[in-house]
Amino acid sequence: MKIAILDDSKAFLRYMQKMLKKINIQEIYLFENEKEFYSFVKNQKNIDAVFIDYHLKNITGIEVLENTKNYLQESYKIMITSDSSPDIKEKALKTGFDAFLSKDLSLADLKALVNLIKTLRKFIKKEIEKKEAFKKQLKYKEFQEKIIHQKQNKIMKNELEMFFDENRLFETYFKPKDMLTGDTIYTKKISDKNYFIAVIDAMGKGLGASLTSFNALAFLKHSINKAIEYNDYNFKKLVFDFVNYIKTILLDNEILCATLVWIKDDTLHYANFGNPPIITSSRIINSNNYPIRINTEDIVINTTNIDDKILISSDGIFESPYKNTIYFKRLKEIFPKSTFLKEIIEDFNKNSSQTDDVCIVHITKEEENFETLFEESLNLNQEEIDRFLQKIYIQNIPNIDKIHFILHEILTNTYEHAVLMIKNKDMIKDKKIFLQNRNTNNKFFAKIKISKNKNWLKVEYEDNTEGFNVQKIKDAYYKKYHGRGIKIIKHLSYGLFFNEKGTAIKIFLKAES
Amino acid sequence: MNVEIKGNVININSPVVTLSDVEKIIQILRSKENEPQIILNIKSFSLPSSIIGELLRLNDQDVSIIINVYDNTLYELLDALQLTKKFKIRMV
Repeated sequence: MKIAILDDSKAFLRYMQKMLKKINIQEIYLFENEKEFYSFVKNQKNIDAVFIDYHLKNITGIEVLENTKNYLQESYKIMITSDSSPDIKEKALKTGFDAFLSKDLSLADLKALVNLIKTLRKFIKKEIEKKEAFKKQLKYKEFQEKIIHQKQNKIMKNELEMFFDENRLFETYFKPKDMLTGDTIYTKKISDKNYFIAVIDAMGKGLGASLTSFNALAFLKHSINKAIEYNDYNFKKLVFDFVNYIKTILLDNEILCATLVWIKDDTLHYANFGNPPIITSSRIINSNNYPIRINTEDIVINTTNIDDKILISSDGIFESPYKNTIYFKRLKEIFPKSTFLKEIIEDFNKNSSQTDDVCIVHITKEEENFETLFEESLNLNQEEIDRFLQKIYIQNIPNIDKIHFILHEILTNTYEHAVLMIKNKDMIKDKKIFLQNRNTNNKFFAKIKISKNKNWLKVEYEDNTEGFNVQKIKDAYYKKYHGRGIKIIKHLSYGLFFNEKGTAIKIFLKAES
Repeated sequence: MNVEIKGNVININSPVVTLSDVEKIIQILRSKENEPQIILNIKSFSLPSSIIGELLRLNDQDVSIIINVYDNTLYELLDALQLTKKFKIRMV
């Protein structure tokens, strides 16, 4: 046992040392003043018990414990006192003392107290060991989660996340409930106005479902990439190959739900294997196939005209609770009124709670009738950007503070990465490189337009640089302390969309202030 | 931009508008990197990501960051960025 005693009486310290040795306590530390005692408890671990005199020269024992209790949380704390005042004892207990000891104690009293401390310490040590083991497990779990999320995002690579083409805005949402998700999304631009979308939901929980889902997604991803490479993309063939492949990896009782969609110009081709319906602005398109099993034979592919808005999802959002029913009921009400996916997610978070993995693909035709409020081109050098930011800040436009903040983020990013070619923020610390590049006369410029319709403010940005690496920006978005710029823009706006090259951005904010 | 420095306390008293404003604040923060604690009083609506990045760098070097925010939208943003606990942020 390790015991420390603080008392300004040398005689008492010697007496205690003698008595403790008699009962076989060897590790005894004696202190006559509080400063030495402070230094000891700060630097020592596993002190079993401390004895602190109440009447010290410059300070009370209660004050000493007040100053050191953070270091003595797991030690047994005894106040030595001949003062029997109930007020002092009450105060001592509140401060954290566990027992009192009179200076005229007998050897038997001390032995009994030490035995009690030994028993309690055994229990506490076990608890500490359990706590440490739990901390280790938690750390391991956090590490695994980080790796798994990185891997999931790497495999999924959603090309249509935050993407716009000539007249459509694409968004995706992926929020697993657990570390291992059975839901996955894959979106791919095949060519102009030619897109593939898959939402996969492997039934069941844990590793089995996750392996099936990611295996299914990897098959689609590889097949489509090869089809594009050899210029022989064929949706019907892809769907049949997919089902045949899935049948080879399913267990006897396992089922897989999947929605495979091909959008070509204004036509939507789909094979929905047991996933929730595809919701469009005018219709609810039910599943046209049973979930995939090892004995699946019949496969149906249907074709329909594309509507202004489409939502493709796994069952996560549909089957979450809403009042006495499921959120699907609410979704049918709010989908026609909403424009962007963030509106739906906000409503979902407000009115329901996530009970399963959530995967959503949301496509909307860009609204028209926007009236231009502000339009300007600027050279991408620091003086021009500063002048522009000062000018935009004083414009009489609704939500101008948010718009200014957003443009500040975009222009900072463009200036640092596309103009100065800073690949890493640490390079800014190397002033020589920073200033050398900064003085370069570049010919990069940006066009910025702000327009408004009845519901939305639209901020359009376009430059003639080589463009952002859009995939890197999307990947950073899912990291805890990375992608701050994009997280800021997403937080302040309702829709953020990039073109394929990363040279143009469209951002939508609510029109009201 | 109006910035006051009193020891380890930095008062940003007006909006952070330009890239030069951001550079200025980053230089001030770098000059305080040996302080055990920096207190920022922010009366700006915005706190650009470059400044947040610099604060995270200082925090990694064991500089304790205390931020008093005067705008609710900025507080919500910092909360959404999961920074309210990493830094000690409070709404004034």
